[in-house]
Amino acid sequence: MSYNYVVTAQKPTAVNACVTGHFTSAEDLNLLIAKNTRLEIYVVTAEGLRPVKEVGLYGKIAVMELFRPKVCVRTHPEELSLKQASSVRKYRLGLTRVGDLLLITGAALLTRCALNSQVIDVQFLYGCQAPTVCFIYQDPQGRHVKTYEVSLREKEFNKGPWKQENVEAEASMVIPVPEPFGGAIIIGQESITYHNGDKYLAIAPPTIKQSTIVCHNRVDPNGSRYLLGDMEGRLFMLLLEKEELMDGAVVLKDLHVELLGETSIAECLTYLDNGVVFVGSRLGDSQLVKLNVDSNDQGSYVAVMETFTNLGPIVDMCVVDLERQGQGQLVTCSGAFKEGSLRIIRNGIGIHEHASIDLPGIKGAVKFLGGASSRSTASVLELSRLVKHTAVTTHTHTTEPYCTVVVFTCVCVQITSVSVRLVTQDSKALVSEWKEPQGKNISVASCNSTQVVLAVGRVLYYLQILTGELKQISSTEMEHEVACLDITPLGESAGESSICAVGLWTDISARLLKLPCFSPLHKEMLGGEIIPRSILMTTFEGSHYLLCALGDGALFYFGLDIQTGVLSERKKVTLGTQPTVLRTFRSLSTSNVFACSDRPTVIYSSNHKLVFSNVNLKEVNYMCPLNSEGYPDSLALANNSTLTIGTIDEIQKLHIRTTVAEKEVKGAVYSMVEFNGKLLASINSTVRLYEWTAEKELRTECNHYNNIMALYLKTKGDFILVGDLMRSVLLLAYKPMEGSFEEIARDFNPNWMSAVEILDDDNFLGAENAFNLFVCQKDSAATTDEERQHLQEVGLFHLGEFVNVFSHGSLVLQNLGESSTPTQGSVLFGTVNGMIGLVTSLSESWYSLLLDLQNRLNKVIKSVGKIEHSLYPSAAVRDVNSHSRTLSHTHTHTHTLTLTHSARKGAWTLLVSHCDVEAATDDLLWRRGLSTLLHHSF
Amino acid sequence: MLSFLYARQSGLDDPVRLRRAESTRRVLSLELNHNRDVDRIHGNGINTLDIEVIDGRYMLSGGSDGIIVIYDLENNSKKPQYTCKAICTVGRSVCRHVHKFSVETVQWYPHDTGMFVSSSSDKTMKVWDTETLKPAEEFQFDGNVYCHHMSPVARKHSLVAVGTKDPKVQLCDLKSGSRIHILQGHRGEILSVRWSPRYDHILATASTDIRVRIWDVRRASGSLFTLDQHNGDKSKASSEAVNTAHNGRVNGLCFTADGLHLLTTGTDDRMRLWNSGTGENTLVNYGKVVNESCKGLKFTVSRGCSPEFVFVPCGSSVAVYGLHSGELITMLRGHYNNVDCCEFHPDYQELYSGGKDCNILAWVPVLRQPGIEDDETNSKRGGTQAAINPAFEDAWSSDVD
Repeated sequence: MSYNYVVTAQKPTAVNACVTGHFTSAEDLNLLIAKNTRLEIYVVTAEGLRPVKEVGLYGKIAVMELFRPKVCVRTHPEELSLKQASSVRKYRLGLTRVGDLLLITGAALLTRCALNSQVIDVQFLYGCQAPTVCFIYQDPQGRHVKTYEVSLREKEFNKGPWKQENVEAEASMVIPVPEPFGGAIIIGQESITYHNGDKYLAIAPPTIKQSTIVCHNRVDPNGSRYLLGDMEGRLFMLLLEKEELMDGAVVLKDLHVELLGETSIAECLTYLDNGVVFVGSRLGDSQLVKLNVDSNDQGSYVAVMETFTNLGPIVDMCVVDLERQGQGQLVTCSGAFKEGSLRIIRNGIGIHEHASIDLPGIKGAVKFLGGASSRSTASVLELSRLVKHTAVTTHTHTTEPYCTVVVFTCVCVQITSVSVRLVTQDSKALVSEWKEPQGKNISVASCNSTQVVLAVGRVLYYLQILTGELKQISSTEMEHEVACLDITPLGESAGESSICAVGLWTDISARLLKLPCFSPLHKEMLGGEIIPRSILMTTFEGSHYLLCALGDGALFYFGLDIQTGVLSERKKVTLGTQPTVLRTFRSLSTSNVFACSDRPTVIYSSNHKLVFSNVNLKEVNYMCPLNSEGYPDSLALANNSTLTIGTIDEIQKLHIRTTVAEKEVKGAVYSMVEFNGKLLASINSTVRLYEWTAEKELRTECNHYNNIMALYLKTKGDFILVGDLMRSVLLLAYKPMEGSFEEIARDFNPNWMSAVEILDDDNFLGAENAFNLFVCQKDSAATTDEERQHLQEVGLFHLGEFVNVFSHGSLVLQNLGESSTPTQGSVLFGTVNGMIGLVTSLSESWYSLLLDLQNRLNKVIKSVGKIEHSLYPSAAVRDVNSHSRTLSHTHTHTHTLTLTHSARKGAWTLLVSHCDVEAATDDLLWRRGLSTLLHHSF
Repeated sequence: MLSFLYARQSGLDDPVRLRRAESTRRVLSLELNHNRDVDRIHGNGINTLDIEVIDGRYMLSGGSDGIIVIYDLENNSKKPQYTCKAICTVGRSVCRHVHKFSVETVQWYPHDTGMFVSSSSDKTMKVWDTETLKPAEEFQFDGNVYCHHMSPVARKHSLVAVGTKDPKVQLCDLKSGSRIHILQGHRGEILSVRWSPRYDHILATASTDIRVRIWDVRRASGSLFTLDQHNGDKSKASSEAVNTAHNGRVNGLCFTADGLHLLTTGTDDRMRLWNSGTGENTLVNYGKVVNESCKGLKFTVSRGCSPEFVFVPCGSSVAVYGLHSGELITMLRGHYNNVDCCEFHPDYQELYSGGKDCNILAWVPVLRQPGIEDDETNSKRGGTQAAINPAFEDAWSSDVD
């Protein structure tokens, strides 16, 4: 039996709906964005959008409307979405459309009415005595507009004040107009008409004919301006010109449509304030745009202020390892129509660049320590001056600027290749200087606020920084030349280290020496022929570590006992290909290590396990932390030519880079794959293998016909998995000797497929029309032919997302020497709404443990709208025959990952209290593993 | 197709749209197919068919010879061509419990394939255990049993509605094995009974008294209402024809899949579509639907298409109508004698029909052939022509008659 774990790497990014209003408080102007199963709440501020909260729902958001005093979100299990539910809430009454059924709800269901015709759109009207609905419907004669009054007493629908038969054949939207005008605007393919019973006004501006208007939003409360968005991403303003009659009544005089400019293809629009509009898009990136009074050079009144990345619809994707470092990058075909693009996604830590200076020839970076005054006043200018200054002073010494400068209460230590100098910061006056007795060059040095250790060839010197004096305490001679050393103070030693870590040439060893006597504490042979280039002692989460980076980008790390200097738990990872420099920095009050190399990496600890996370930078040679007024909690990063200052992301997340491309597909070939050096293609109902002959022709080698429509192909060895339009999956074997296909097994469930993948030799993953994932298993041990022919469905998981593509691969760095993740294999999937997720196999014990956790979490987490979690997956019915299959052997875990901290803690307590009776000893084990798993989910 | 696939892939369309469109296309292309045969077991006319909904795999048939057969519809041949095998037969030679006379209705227990129910002109209704093929229960009636039906949605009750020669509709409880209730109102034989697929307590019954009654079985009193072909317009009907559904015996009932509408057929050669909530005649005109059956007529509707279709036996063919348009779309011709029953397979849009010619015919959608572009590419490149798919050789000109 196979157990699989489904997890979200990237939440859905496509926007289905958005509304603006006062939601979090009467004063806050909020923007609410619906992204399939998620709802994001923002506050609109002068600086832009500030996220407030993000909530997940056990259902898909079909329609979202503001409803005083609170927002009402209609969520529903799939069943309703299939019938296109829509709801409007005004009059404190709810109007819900499910197919052709209208439901009027107050506190409870008031009345329902089947319209017995295809309803296109329905809205409540303003300014009517009784609640009145206005709707467009279609019958064989065409489309018509009708109004109904809702009688609250009789709870039924009565004939409304007006109707209009035979409106435009493509009329698709009703916009109710507030008073003083009242009535409604009907948007069609070619025309915009206004109706209110007495008045009828139609315009057919040529500009709107080009495309179809898909969304609208009212700008002014009085309804005199509306924004319209079409399928080509054009933004229009619809203006209602008013006219005051003799009797003082205000009536509509004319309608005008003006093209404002181009945005992303809008799915929904909402006017925020001050001419700012949020353009929610499903097919491209969502945007925050500003409407200007004057047009720009291109005649556009629209200026894009901010762009929100959307990966959806992910039509195809593949995992590539461009740098051949074991870390996959995902390339997705995202967007549709003009928004089509290729996007490259990789996992890692992001650096937000705040400033950069071109400084050719940077050889090192400056480190500020101690002094509160220096920290608060240090600015980037000072920093750059200091860098220059250092360069200048060292230049006078005509030596290579090997500089570690320590700012320590207005005094700094400057180490050059010839000497160690104590310099006052203000006057730059030399206070004290230490030189090697024979005048030899200093090769490497390390210092903290009170100590300096330096190496001259094989000789180590230990200096202490006293007030106004550098004092040599001791020296020793090592067996080989010193390659690197470190005296970072650890533990409670308060600025003074009692241990010195040294890396040596020739025997390639890392050693720990006691200070000040240099007596050896521990010797660790690193093996190989690459010398250590950087050694560092550090503390993560209360545990001490020694890290040692080699010249080829490999990194050894050990547990370190600072009392005895003994190293333990030796592990090795490969970070890059170039010599690596290790630097510590603190971010959010935890210590981290930055490994500078051709593939910069941030090393941190998570649940007592070291995590290596890539940084979205090309190359970093040196790095030092910076914390000043102008650049709080920042890092200064230098490569050969540039000094960059930036801050680091709080969380590990996926970074998305966008490149431009277009995609065009023609013909009835639904799928093509390379297969044993031949071309395998699916053409309608046929799976066909082509051979590339010596005559440079494609020759058909064999066919397989037993499909309805073979849409998807995946191969592994001689096996082919075929995803059929409506007959689930089929496993074929290619017989190279006979040159033919053999049907091995088939899943006989009537699944309408959307993507397939081979998990391993026996397990096959499929995604289908009703937003489910399922796993089928081949039963090789079966005794009868018939059983062998059946792929057994062993797992079903309701994802709530339409999966377009599966791809083997992972975004996390592989072979990091961490074998504690209890999962096997990794298949990524991409969905219509821009979600990226992962399916991975795990053992039965893990499965039952996690299932238990999930069930407990579901007890703790209160779902929004009180939709039970159990309802969500079971709602995965296929609309025709409504088999609801039981959820088994696959466990749902997606939702737990988005928990708030406290809720998670609650579940922990529950789980721990449950476990302690029988498995107190195992407790730690699974907690460790569990955190790994949770971590694994990015 | 490609445009539908693209729209589904990019999220422009609800995925259900592609499914509905393709299902509709497939229903419109139903043909008698050389690739599919059904074992011929019955030695006499076939009165009734039923496909279970759990796996969509097994089909029951009941014949005038009193035999019940279970077929496996699944294709295990690894080839497109196959014959639906009869996996077991409740026949005279093997089973002493076999019905003595014609089997009028067979139906799978809707929630489990371990049980099915059959009723016969031998005045009995039998509840069979599929494993042992022995009756677990047997109900005796005073007259011929014409029809019975179990609710496809009921979870709270397990009532079988039974229509016999007697004007009283019988409700039998499978739990207690007893007849627990009768519904009085009709004045003629009950030719068809159907539970609503929407509400587990709503039952429709059709009778030779040319009326159709809708019952709420929770109520002790009479029926909820009687279907009136004239929608209450008395001027159109003679006094005795008030509240009649047809001008002849009503012998067929079928709810639409959503339960919102009810179809009825009568020996007046008409088919009518009713709003099942209000009893209103929707006045959809299907034209003349020849109906010579003196017993119940088993007809069916499509599921998951847009628009939906009605399949109704019509002489020796099966007529396909647009459900709401009333338009005659096609006549499926293939039987040599009158067709008495048909059953739609919603998973694969296939239709099975049984007739007096003792045959069960499978009507299967035409497959899309490999694209033209593909063949062009082949010829342009001078490559060897692709091996011809044997399935396409016959070019689908495969009607038996």
